[in-house]
Formats: sequence, C-alpha cells, structure tokens
Amino acid sequence: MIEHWFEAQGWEPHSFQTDCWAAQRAGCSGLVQVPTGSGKTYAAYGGCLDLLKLPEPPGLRILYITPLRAMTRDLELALRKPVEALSLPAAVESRTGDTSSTVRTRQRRRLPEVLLTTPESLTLLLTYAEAPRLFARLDTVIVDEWHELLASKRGTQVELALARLRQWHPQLKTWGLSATLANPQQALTHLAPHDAEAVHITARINRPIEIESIIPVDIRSVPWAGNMGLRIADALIERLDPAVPTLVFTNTRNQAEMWHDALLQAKPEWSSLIGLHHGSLDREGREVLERAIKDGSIRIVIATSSLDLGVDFSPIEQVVQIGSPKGIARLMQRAGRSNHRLGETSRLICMPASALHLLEFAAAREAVARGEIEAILPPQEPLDVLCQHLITRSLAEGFDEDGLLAEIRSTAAYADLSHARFDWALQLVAYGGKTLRSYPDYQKLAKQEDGHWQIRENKMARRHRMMIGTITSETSVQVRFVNGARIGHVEESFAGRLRPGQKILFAGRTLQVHRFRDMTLFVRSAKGKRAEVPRWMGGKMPFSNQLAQALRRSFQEIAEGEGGSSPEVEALQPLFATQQELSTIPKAGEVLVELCQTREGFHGFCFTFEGRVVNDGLAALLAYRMGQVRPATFTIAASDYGIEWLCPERYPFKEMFRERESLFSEEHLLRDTLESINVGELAKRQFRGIARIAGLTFDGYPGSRKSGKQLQISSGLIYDVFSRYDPDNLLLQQAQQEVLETQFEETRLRETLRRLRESTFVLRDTPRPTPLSLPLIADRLTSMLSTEALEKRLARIQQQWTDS
Amino acid sequence: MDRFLNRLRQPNPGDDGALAVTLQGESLMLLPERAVFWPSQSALLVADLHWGKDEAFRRQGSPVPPGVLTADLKRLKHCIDRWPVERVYILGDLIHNREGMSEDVVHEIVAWRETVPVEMILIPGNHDRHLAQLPLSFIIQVMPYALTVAGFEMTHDPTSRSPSSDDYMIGGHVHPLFRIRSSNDLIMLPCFYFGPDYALLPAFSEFTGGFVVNAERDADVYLTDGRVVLPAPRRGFGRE
Repeated sequence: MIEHWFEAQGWEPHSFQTDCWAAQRAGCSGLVQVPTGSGKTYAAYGGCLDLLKLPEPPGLRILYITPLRAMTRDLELALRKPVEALSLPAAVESRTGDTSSTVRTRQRRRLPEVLLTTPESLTLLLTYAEAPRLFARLDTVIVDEWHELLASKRGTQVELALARLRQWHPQLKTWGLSATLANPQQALTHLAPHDAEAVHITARINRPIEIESIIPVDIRSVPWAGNMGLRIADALIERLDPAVPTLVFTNTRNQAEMWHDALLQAKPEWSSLIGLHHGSLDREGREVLERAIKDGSIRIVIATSSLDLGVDFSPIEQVVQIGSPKGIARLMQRAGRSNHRLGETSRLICMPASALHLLEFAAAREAVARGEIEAILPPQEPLDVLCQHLITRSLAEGFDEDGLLAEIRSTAAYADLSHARFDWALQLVAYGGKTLRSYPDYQKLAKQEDGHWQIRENKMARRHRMMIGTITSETSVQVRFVNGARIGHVEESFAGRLRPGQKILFAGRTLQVHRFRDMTLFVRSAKGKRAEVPRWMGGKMPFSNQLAQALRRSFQEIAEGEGGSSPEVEALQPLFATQQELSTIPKAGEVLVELCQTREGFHGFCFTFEGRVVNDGLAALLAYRMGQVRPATFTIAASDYGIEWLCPERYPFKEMFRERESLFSEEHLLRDTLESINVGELAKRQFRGIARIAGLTFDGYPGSRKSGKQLQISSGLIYDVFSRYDPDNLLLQQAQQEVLETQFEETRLRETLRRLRESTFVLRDTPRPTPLSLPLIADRLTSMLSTEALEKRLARIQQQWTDS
Repeated sequence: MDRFLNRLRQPNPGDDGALAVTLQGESLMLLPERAVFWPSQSALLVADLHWGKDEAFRRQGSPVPPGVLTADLKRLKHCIDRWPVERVYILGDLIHNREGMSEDVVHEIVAWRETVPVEMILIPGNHDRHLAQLPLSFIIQVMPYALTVAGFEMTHDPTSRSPSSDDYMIGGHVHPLFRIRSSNDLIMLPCFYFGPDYALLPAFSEFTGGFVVNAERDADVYLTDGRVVLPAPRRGFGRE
C-alpha cells in the first residue's frame, strides 16, 4: 500500500523503510533509529497502513504518541496524506490538551482509526470506564522521539500506559522512533519488554553534518571566560542574512533574550524579520512565531532548546549554535533542524561565547565523526510515578492488587519492583501511609468487597485527572500587561526581587514593572536601556560524558603537539602559548593542579574535564576530605572544566594532592558526600517534583484564580513535616537518591575518582590566573556581582595578560 | 558569611536565644520561638498561627502527618511559661480555614487552652474570616481589625494600610523570610522585620511558607533558626 503511495509521489523508499514495513507486516515490534529528518515517521507508519483497509470494522487501529503537543498539527497532516491519497476509509485525528471539548466528547464515543496523542492525554483516556471498548481494536502503537521520552519520567508513564494496553492486547505491536543513541537495546527493552524478538532497525545512511566555527580575525578579542559572547557579537551578525533563513540556538533563555536584543540593536532594519522563541514565552505567541518561520515571514530566530525538537521548519537553511555545545547528541539534533530532508548535509555554524568554546566545537566535531554519542538512561523504579499510577488505575473499574503488581512488573522500569515497595505506595495513596492509618477522614482509595481498589470520591477522581503527568515546572509568575494580555512567565524568585518602576528585558522587549500581585507581574511597555534580564534556574546545562572525553582528548593532542589539524586549535595557539608559559597543558594520564595567589586569597584549581555535575560533587567532597586533614574555610566553584577552592589563608594544597589514595578514595563515598553537601536542601528542592507527581500537592484548578489559595501547599513544607513526623517516608529517600544520582551522578563520580587515583598529578604555581582557571573564577564571580561590573573586571585581567 | 552561619549553628549553651531591641523607646524581646515578648505590657505578640492548617490539607487529600498543631501549641505554651506573660496578642490568622477546624482539632485546642491561664486577644486576619465565630471554649477575645496599645497599632497586615494616626504598626500576614547565600549554601529563615512605618512578625506556625523580604537601608531585620535570634547580615554579604 505504502509502496504505491511512495511510487505515486515519485519517492524511492530507503532500505530501512522497506525493512521496517516488512517487520511490521510480520507482526514484530521494534525500534527505528535514524538521524533526525530521515523519514522515520513513514517508516513506522507505512507498514500499518494495511490495517486501515476494509472490511475491518471502524475504531482505533493505530495509536501515535508524541512528546510535543506543538508537533501534533504537522504530524496529523503527514499521517493523513497517504490515507487520503489511497482513499482509505479511516479518520486521522489528534487528542491533546488543546482538543476542543466537542471533539473530545465525540472521541469518547468512538476513537478515529488513527489517533495522535501525548503521553498525558493517553493516560487520561485510559482512566475512563469506556477505555476497554475504545481500545478494543488497537493493533499498533508508535512512539515518536522515544529517546526524548526515555530520559524522563514521562517515559516511565508511557511504559505504564503500554503495560495497561497489553492487558487487552498481549501481543501489541509497539514501535519506537528515536534519534541515534548509544544504548538502543535498553531503549527497546523499555519500549517493548513483551517482545523478545523485537527488531532494531538502523539506517545505513549517513546524514553528513558539517560543523564550522566562527573564528574572529583577532583572536585576542574573544573573551577567555564568560558564557554570553556579546562582546564579539559582530562576528556572528555579519554572517547572518535574512535571505538565508537561520535558526540561532543559545543555551539559556537569558542568553536568548540578550542576543535577540543585541541583534535588534545592530540591525534595527531587520526587526520585522527576527523572532525570539523560548519556553517562558506565552504559548500562543510561540505558535504564531512557529507558523511565521514555516511560511517564511520570519527569517532569523533566536531560540533555546524549546525548538530542539519537533516542527519541521523546512525553510531553515542554516543553524547556529552560540556557546558550548554541551553534548554530542544535542549538537547533532540541533544541526538536523536545517534542511529537514533525507540525505542532505546539515550545516551548523558554531559561535564561541568564550575562547575555549572553539576547542569544544573541534572536539565535538571529532566525536560526531567517530559516532560517539551519549547513552540515555531511563529512570529506574520512580516511586512518585508509581503513586500517581495507582490512583490513575483506581479510577474507572479499579484494580486488584496482584493483577496490578504483575501488570506494573511487566514494564522494564518496574521489572524488579518489590512487593514491599508496591505495598508502601499503595498504603500511601490509599490511607496516607502509616502515620495516617488510623485517620478515617483521609482515606482516598477504598477496597471493595470483591477485593477491588477504587477511588472513594468523585471529587478526588476529577482532581487526579487534572494532575496526571510528570512534567513539573518551577513556581512561575505570569507576566501580563496592565490591560491583562499575557506575555509569558518568569520565576517567582526573580519577580520577587523586582521593584515597581524597574525595567526588564523580556520576550524581546523592554518592560517596566507596574506591580507584582497574586502571582502575576504586571508590566507596561517601556523604552530605554538598563534593563534587568530574567535569569532562570536550571539554565546551566552540564557537559555530557562524551563531550568531556572528547575535550580531554583534544587537550592531550595539543599537549603532545598533534592538535594543529583543526582551524580552531590553530586559532587558539596564542591562548595555549600563554597557558604553556604560565603553567602547562596536561598530557594523557595527567591531571593539572594550579595554585595561585590573588587579592581574593589562595586558589587551588584542579582540571578534571569531567563536566559540571561531577565537578560540583567532587569539589565539595574533596573540600570536605581536605578539611578533615587540615581544617580551613573554602569557597568552592566548579565548571565543566574543573574545580576551584578559594581559601583566605595559605593552604597546603600540594601536600593534600600527594595523598591521592585517601583523597580520591571510593571508601565512605556516600557518607562523605552526605557530610560535604547540603543534601537536605537539595533533596528538598528535588522533592518538589516528586510531591507533585505523587499527588501530595495540588496546583489548584486551572482558570479559577481564587482556587482556594489557602489549599495550595509548598512541597518544601511537606518535606519538612515528613522529615520531622514521618522520617521513614520512602519518597524522602527517593528525593535523596535522585539528588545523588542526577545531581551528582554517583556512578560517574566513582569512575572519576578511579581515574584520578591512576593519574599523574602535575602541580604548578602560577603567578596569576591562567586561561584555564580564569573561566572558573569568572563563573564564581557571576553569582556575586552584576554582569556589567564582572565584564569590566574580566576585561581588566585579560588586559594584564595581553600587556605582559 | 560562613562565620555568620556558624553562629547560627552553634548558639551559646544555656542561652535562651532571645534578643532585646528597643523600638520607639519600648524594649522588646525577640524570641527564637518566632514571638515577641513586650515586658512593659507583660504581653506576648504572635502572628499567623494557622491552627488546623495541616488538618485542612489532610482533608483535601495531602497525606500530611499529624503533629504540627501539637508542636505549635507546645511552643506557644513554652513562651507563655518562660516569660512573665499576662496576655497574648494574636496579630491575625489564628485559624487557617473552616475545614481545618475539625472536631479533633477544636478538642485539642480547648484542652490546651486550659493549661495556659492568660488573657488571649485576637486582632483578626484574612483567614479568620473563614469562620463566622471562634468556638467560645477557646476563650479568646476578638477585637476589630486594629488595636492600639502604648503607641503601637497592632493590625494583621500593616503593608496594605496607612496608620489611623502616627502610631507605629505591628503585624504579620506576610510570613517574612530572609534569604542568606554563602559560598555553597542557601538558607531561608523566618525573620522579624522593622521598617520605617511598621514591623512584621514571622509566622508563628512551623507549617507556613513565606515571602522573601529585603533588608533595605532603613529597615532592621532579625532572623531566627528556632534556637537563636540574630541581626541579619548587611548588604554585600551573601546577597544575590
């Protein structure tokens, strides 16, 4: 069928597509892993078009799950095209949070033959009593962007929904579409644990990626530290041209706002052709912009990861990355946003925000060429998602314990779930756990006479349906014009610091704060400069393991004099010469430690090139262990490159680093880590999401402003109350575990300690900060000083180097 | 900064942690229990007790373990016993809402009330409006929205109104918190805020969030970790 359509279109199917169609017709499940923009959708969809032929009775046959609501419109069109061309008697529709209530009601009577939906909408659909009938004729599920879902609890939610569907269709054909990832087998196991024969299809097509760095003529003009890069903005701006539709990616929303502003200042005549896109802007505005990109009326877009995925922007011809690439897969994904077509070269222009980014670009290009990409690790057995799922399953006909445990264990995420943990979660959602056991007013679930668990009150059921999902966001404050028009949202902590009359740069315009009330920041349009730019938490993304490795390799090559091959390394020679002169460049198997005295005090630097997450944990751990031997007060900073300890008095770092075996020991790692960092505070922050997912907190009913504010509760308070009155609560442990795993990547920390024990340490006293240590000092100062003052200070330090 | 945190972490043993300040010529003791003792009036000032808040949350489905109210009541009694208190002024939000005033909660409060033989006076706050009338067995006298004693006008939310006279206002409502950031730490602590026109007390209940206040040049801020009251570190000191 699909073959006819391809022929009619004049398309030649790729071999991975025909492989896929054959596998589907043979009834297999599988994972299609090909680069972005290679035609995955039709690979997975084509084979099931046969299902839509008469004389099959109507009803849902193909379920297509996508992580992005914004993507459904385009996908719906793409899925409908062959159906219409082949005159198949099938309806193709979407169901998301945006679907109108008329359509939703109709769909609850009968689903279309092909349904496009999000994980949240699917879970919600499964809570209705008519779900067994609606899904009775389902044959195939296709999960798009599986690599994206897999990495988060949304993936766990999909696994649980699939397990539910398998209760009705034990042999459910399940297909995942994924960008290239390092652990496809694991991705497949989590997608289709029921099918040992599931196939893994990769394309043998190479989608070439061309990575080119912008190298300013005068390399000394490139700052050696910082993440904004505005000082050399001209180098990029002269490469931009509205005739070439361009997507400019930044790493943070803050950076996107500043670059958008800089571009407008430099090219006011382009103002109607330039757009700004990030996750804090109002959704409607973003959608208008997305349409404008597609129809070609907006030619240059400054964006954050909000445009990493999704919509096919065919007009885009060129992609720019500003600042550190952070990860190999991420860079490839971004590069793939240009010329979203099979076989064509993706072009990526990389713009350094500071000098060493050039080396990162070269390292990333090398890693892309070698095919070294990141593995995506799914969450293991998250209890909060389990709690939510128990309530979800208690709606409609409810569940019996043994049956549900077996169903949940059929997923890879919960394959090893113990009876005890399952019981604990059930007790928590049913009675509020052991502390509320004797408290009849609380009970949420009730056990029926036939042993079925069901939700007790309709009110609870309604509330739960609104809370389904695992996406949690920071407490955000709406930004509105005084007349009520929505602009977007900023973090509460930022809004709380603003005063009436103050100017901010947001959504690409200068706004003046009118007042902050009822979680809404009211603003007016304003003119003029001196605007604060909101900073969003969590904007600092760490290096991936792969990029860290690639970067270490680059440094070694330079140290051994083999690295002159790339234009970036060539251009950076003056910087390396300074580094060599002041200190040294570490060779293979070496770790560089620099010691330096400034007006601030005595600095110790250790360059591990392990990425910020690991370095953060390592910095605190080593400070704690050094402090055990010789007490001192340290100020600690960590970056992707290394660690800084700053001490007001002279500190014997050299002696400390001689005791490698004990300093980098893995013994008592957990104990020392818990001692060294404020896990409590971090866990409390982590608990926010957990409490929300597990249903401990309630965001209030959407739309109703005075939704009983006295019923909203902060997760921090619940955390405190649990710690005090119910310290054995497993959700507290989960928060702590998540902090240790995701914030400190314990596994990687152990590997790092092992590597450090086996390395040779090169200790150098330097007369002043070096090109390697300056970014660390800068990062630390950023959190203490205003941006402006900092830039001046840095420029001054760098001036001293150039002069000498 | 770290030295400041250390002071918080290690209060002097034997010390009750209170701090004496002078305000408009009146001497006040700021107590680490989040209350103020006013010697010249033999009075204790507290704000935002939110009795029954944890109960209200249980009733709407959050599994908050019991214990908050008991601990809060115990702490209040401790203040009353420790200082020569004859009356307690409650600066609003004594209760959280109607749902929280369950039979058990009312019972516990009445039993507790019998153990504290002092006068109690409530200047109602926005939350107190949820209940048409306090249970009579609480033996709490309810005032109108403001009450002036010895030049201090006590009212629930002084930030939203101007004083009826030149009196200095004392209130609560905001649940003021102070944020301290050190090299590797961020903490938020309840605080006493003394501005040019009014003073704000920290929320008495431990089961309350809060709002971060800034230490402006013309305001004094004192914070407490539950054991000791200290002046907040000044600008340039761990501020964001």
